Amino acid sequence: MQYIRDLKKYYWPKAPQDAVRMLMQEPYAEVIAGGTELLVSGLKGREVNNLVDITRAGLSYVKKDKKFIKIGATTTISEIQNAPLFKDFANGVLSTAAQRFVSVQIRNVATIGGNLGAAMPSSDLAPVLMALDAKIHVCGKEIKEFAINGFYLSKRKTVMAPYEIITEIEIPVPADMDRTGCAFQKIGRTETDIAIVNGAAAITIDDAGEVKSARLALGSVAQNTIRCLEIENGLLGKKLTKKAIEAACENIAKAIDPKTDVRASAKYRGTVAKVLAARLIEEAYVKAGGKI
Amino acid sequence: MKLNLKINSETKVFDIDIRDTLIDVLRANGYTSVKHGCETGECGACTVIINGTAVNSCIYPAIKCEDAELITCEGLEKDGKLSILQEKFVEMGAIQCGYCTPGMLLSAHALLMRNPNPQLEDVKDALSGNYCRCTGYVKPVDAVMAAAKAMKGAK
Ligand SMILES: Cc1cc2nc3c(=O)[nH]c(=O)nc-3n(C[C@H](O)[C@H](O)[C@H](O)COP(=O)(O)OP(=O)(O)OC[C@H]3O[C@@H](n4cnc5c(N)ncnc54)[C@H](O)[C@@H]3O)c2cc1C
Ligand code: FES
Ligand code: FES
Repeated sequence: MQYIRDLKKYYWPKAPQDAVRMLMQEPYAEVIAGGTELLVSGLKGREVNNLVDITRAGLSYVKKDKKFIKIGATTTISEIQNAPLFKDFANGVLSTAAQRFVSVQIRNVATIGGNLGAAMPSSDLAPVLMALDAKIHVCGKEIKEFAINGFYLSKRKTVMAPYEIITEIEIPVPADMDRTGCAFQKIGRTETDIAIVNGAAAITIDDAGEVKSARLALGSVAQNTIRCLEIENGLLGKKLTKKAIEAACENIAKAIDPKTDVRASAKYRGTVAKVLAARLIEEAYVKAGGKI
Repeated sequence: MKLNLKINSETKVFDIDIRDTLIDVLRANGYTSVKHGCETGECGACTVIINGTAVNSCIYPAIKCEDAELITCEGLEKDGKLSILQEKFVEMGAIQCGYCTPGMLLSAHALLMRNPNPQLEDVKDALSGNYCRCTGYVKPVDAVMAAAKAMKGAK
């Protein structure tokens, strides 16, 4: 089977700037990283004659300093799952999300940049990166930086121009790590199937156990992964109880717009989203040191 | 165009079309242990090992393998003798029709290359991308655990 009927050239840029130059010069060019999305469902209807493969452009790495963790765009899901750094950082949420990401074979090839670039609402990494307040570095005519919240415009659409590429994901190390708890959860037909609903939360508390900051992100319940700002605001300044969490999640239907597909109906997704949101908040709060 | 790679420890040059997926190049060159299944990255029948890691060859552009080192099921036996892993699959009834078996063996082989002392959970995770319509999963998982034990004994 020929994966792209009209493919004529395959480029291997050595640096992100080279990739951008090739994308700007060649009409009908597309970036490829692992290709797990592109070869299965990524081209739908678009004509592509040139592929620009960025997996040898020096973008596979994980680094940490005092303030930030930086993940290169072509780092694979397996590399994230197995990086010792992510076993501890933020209660291991990134590692956990990576481990629930389909199969070893896909994880070995699929990249974090491709996962965000594909802009699918079922992404397992996007909710985690939203909960961790990550930034996305993009290379085009110039270098830009976007907050992940706002990076997506709609299904399969991001704020990036067609010739721009993601180079790096930057995660701030929370200042009060000891009082911050993080959680990732995914509900699917199996442990590792594409999510029916997934999500992540990060909660920081003060000495009294009151919520100082909260971020909650849900996937597969709208066009793209979303932050649930109203729920977050409903938690601030409170000592959480099961009742308080339930109350905060009461109006979740206003925040989401679930769709029906082969995996679940819109109605089921709506019901599950509410339960999952509450579980995520509870897990993150307890991991932050809060008592329920 | 030409594709240079190493496969089952042999250096090879394959003639490929820029648009070929890896599975088609391998099968056309006689590596027919690599099976067509779903063609969408779900079932694992097409699994091969590239530079030490298991990969679905049905959704992998062949051109990405330039200078890579591959292992297919043909490379597991040595001088007509099955590997310990293969022996255990036979012994423990982990094969019925056999269609999924090459993929299962390679997923397991990749795991054992990286981690010779796997826990049960590691084996289940390693095989989670290989679907079997016949035996189910208990016997293949048991066979891999038994192989890991036997390989330690063999050293
Ligand atoms: C069987 C199967 C199961 C899957 N299950 C899951 C799952 O459970 N969870 C999940 O989250 N995903 C899942 N996916 C989706 C897919 O594997 C991921 O989205 C993967 O991370 C994509 O990465 P890639 O490197 O393979 O991307 P590619 O296929 O190479 O690219 C995907 C898209 O992003 C663009 N792109 C790639 N890299 C960049 C970059 N650096 N900058 C800008 N654009 C870029 C490409 O042009 C393309 O449009 C599954 C896919 C398959 C086939
Ligand atoms: S044929 Fe490749 S995963 Fe099914
Ligand atoms: S033995 Fe028949 S598919 Fe697994």
